[in-house]
Amino acid sequence: MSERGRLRDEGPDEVRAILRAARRSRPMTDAERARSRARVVGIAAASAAAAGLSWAPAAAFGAGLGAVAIVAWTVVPALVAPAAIPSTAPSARHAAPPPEARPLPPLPPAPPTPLVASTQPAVAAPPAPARDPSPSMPAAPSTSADAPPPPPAPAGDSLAREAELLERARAGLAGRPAEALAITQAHAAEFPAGKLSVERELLAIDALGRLGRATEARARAEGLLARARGSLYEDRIRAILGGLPSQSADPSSNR
Amino acid sequence: MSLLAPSQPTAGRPLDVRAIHDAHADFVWCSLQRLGIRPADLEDVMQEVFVVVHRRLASFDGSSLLTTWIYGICLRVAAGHRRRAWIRRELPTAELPDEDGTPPSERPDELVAARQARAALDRVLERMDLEKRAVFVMSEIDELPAGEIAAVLGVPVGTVWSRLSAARKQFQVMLGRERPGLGRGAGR
Repeated sequence: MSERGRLRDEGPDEVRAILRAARRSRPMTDAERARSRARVVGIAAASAAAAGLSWAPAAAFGAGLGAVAIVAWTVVPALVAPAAIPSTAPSARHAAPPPEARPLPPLPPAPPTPLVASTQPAVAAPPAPARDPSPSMPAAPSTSADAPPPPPAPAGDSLAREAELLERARAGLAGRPAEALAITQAHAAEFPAGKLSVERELLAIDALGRLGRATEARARAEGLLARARGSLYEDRIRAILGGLPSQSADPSSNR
Repeated sequence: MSLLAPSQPTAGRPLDVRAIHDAHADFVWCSLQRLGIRPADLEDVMQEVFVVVHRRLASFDGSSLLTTWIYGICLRVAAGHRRRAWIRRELPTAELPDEDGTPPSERPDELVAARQARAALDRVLERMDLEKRAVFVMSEIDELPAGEIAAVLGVPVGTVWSRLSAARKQFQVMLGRERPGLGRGAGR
């Protein structure tokens, strides 16, 4: 394709040679995309954890912000790189997050399917890690009448664990969908009200579709769609739905 | 490769940095390369972009394409990165070995010539104004049509032509300094 005045087409020989020797911008590899998305999930999760503190009284907020900082340092190391982020509001880096799109509420746990690997119930979670910066921090207060219900205690480790699990699932989606599905089920068992539950459900639906279990995939996608209408997830869900084979072509529909 | 993501979220709908990443990661990735971010720095700078996207999302008012808004962030982040790189005296990139896994040429003389040409080009591009560099790379190296560049920049096609003209002139001047005898007589 040639456009008027392009040096690579119409310039002197040596200029054309230089321009034609240049490397074009290359697309991301799957591994780069997975790493990048894990980081972005971490950015969103750290912010969501910070937002979850908004119901806490002012007396506890300072200590809570310390916990959020741990989340940010754990999940998003580059957030704390000095001068790494050119911004017109640098002071906001460690302050409360900006207003943003309200995340979808957590999904209920996914229904069990035959592929579930053996998982431990979340109640068997280990005690808080030793690096908890505020062991003497007062316990989370009870909610007032007009406050939203308290979220599960935000913990950097659990957010990082959620992101790690789902990125493992995403990485295996194309080549090992059964394994990816099992990982989403492990995530559901470990984090029944996890902050990344919508991501989990999208991955599970995608995995079911790749496994030829279109009826289950469609049912779960339609359930998710009902909750996600009007959000950006809607396009992704519809894209997955559109890629599923028709009901009559689905071998799993006769089971 | 198209610059524009397959779908542009509708203005006014809730935005989420993860969904934006899913839709536009490739766009950011390619834009940062066009703005001169080295392969070794791409992932880190990309994260900087999405931190800013996340932080600034509420200020996106839908008056431009989302890609245009994101491109503005890429431009500012790349400019900051470039300043810091100059301060650290890490440039020019031309002295770095190939980092993209380009298969070696069968003929060593061709390989050397191509690397020398790329090195000269990198030195010239590093000295161009960032915005001129980006539009120049989009057109001359990635061979994107002017209409697509206009869509990304959020400007009329005529503005793209005028920017391209200025970018080509600057490129030729810089190339003439890099390689005396070149860079003149190409501005037809």
